[in-house]
Amino acid sequence: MQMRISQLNPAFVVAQDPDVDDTMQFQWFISGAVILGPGETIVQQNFLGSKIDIQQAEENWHGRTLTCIVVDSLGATASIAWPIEILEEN
Amino acid sequence: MLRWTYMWVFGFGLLGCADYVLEESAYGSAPSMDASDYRRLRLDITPSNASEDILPQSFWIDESFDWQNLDLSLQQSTTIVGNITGYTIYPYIDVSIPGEQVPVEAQIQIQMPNAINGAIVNSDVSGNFEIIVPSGSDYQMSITPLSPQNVPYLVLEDMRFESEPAPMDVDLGEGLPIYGRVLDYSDDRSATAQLIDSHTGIKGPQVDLAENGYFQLRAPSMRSDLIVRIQGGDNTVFPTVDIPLRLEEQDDDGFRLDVELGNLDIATVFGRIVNLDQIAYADRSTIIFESVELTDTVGSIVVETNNDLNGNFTVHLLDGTYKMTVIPPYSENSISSPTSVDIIIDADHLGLGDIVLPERITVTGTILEQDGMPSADTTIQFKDVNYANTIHSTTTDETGRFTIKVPPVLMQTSILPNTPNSAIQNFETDLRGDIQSFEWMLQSGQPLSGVANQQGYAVPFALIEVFQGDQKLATGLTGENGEFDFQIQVEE
Repeated sequence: MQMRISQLNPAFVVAQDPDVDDTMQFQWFISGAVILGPGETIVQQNFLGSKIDIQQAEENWHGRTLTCIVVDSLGATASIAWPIEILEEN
Repeated sequence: MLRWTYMWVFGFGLLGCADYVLEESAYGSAPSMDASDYRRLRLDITPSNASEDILPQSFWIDESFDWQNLDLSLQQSTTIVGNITGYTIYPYIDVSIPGEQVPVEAQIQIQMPNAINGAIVNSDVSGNFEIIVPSGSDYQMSITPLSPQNVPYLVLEDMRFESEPAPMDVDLGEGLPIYGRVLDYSDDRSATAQLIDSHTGIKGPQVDLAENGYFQLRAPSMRSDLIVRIQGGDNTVFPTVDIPLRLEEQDDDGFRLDVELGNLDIATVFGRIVNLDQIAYADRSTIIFESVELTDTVGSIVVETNNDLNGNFTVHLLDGTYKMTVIPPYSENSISSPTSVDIIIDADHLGLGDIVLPERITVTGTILEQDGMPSADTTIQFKDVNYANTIHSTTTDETGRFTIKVPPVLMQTSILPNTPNSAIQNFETDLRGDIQSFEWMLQSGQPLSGVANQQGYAVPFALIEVFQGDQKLATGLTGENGEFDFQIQVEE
């Protein structure tokens, strides 16, 4: 994932839990650096999404990963990660 | 059992509004959004990796559209390739010796004004680039040199990019010199000069000031209204100053600009971050000082620092008045909240004492359906708009109640019903006051539904964000067949 320090860097995920009674919670973080929080919840029938707007990317995030973990109410988890590339700017 | 469905990360900013499928589906021809035009909405669509070849695009709708049967046809992507050269003059300050045509490593940005259509790439060192954007017109294109930097940048407007455009060979030329000196400059602080195009806001390269304070910039051709920005390097105690200038035809030899900044004496300021019990705050907070007014110089300054394990911080500032903001790191279980205070910095005010972080407060509430019954599994979000835009989120239980611990600050509050027959509610909640409990009844709104497609094929699991002016009315997703259906509350 390319990020720029001077601009908003958005990302989103969509998840589905076949057990419709389960609730899901998202958590976004930069590996080894900072917890970004749960992001903005996106409610959609049968699916749930989360969007994060990363406002102040840092140069030392280059090479780290943006990770999102989703946890359902029974404790099952899934995660996904993208390697971060900080785009050189003038 | 839990699985990811689709996801998308996209590198660059969400900026605004546009006209995309002008000919094919007659959607919007509205390049700019008038805040008073309440019945015009912008829909930003960001496809997921279920539709890898489709790029984010904006659409406009107004009352002439059937809001319950929208057909959003996304444009195909087009690839633009090219090469960048420029004329560099050397040695740098002796213009009597000719220069040479050289390849320019640059950052290329193609962006539709006030829209999410666009992309940014960096060329290779030979100036070769490849950039992919949705097909369309009314684009702005900028080329900002990264190396060498003593060549002009370029601003192009009203660009049209259709399928398979011809390669672009861009010659930045030598530009018009904008040169001068920052008087009383001391090279113990790094500073740069930069040109900004007044009309588009597009920025040129940041060029380091020479040891004696001299700078030389090269203005792009065909641009007359510019701003020269003098600013310090990262976290340098040096004010940012914007000087507007207008180039006239007779300025063909260049433009001289000398800048006097006044007294830049540094004040060393110190203090300590503590919690409500006056115990030193050990976690690494972000501490930001934004000048309101500087006493002995012009411009503005923003300096950022952190506290140490004992809560202590030291920072260098110029005399003046500041807004100081302390943002503790996010943690779901943290009890500390961000805060801001106004401070004065002068010879008599260098020790700031203890800056107290407030504690989070418990907010409770009840959400009811339109018929007065409890609304279960409804999501409530609080976004601290004046700090790090952190979102605090929870859901209602089967009785419609929720409890959440959040900072006592101004919050953008959103209620996201889990049924499509109620509208997303957005409102501000000032938790600095007495509001710590509320009851909210869901309301119906204006239905907004349709399908997102490209050339007749569904665009599934795409993010749709609906804006009315600057206000975001809704965030939703398309379904497996590209369909979307939600209710929004449009401000009349």
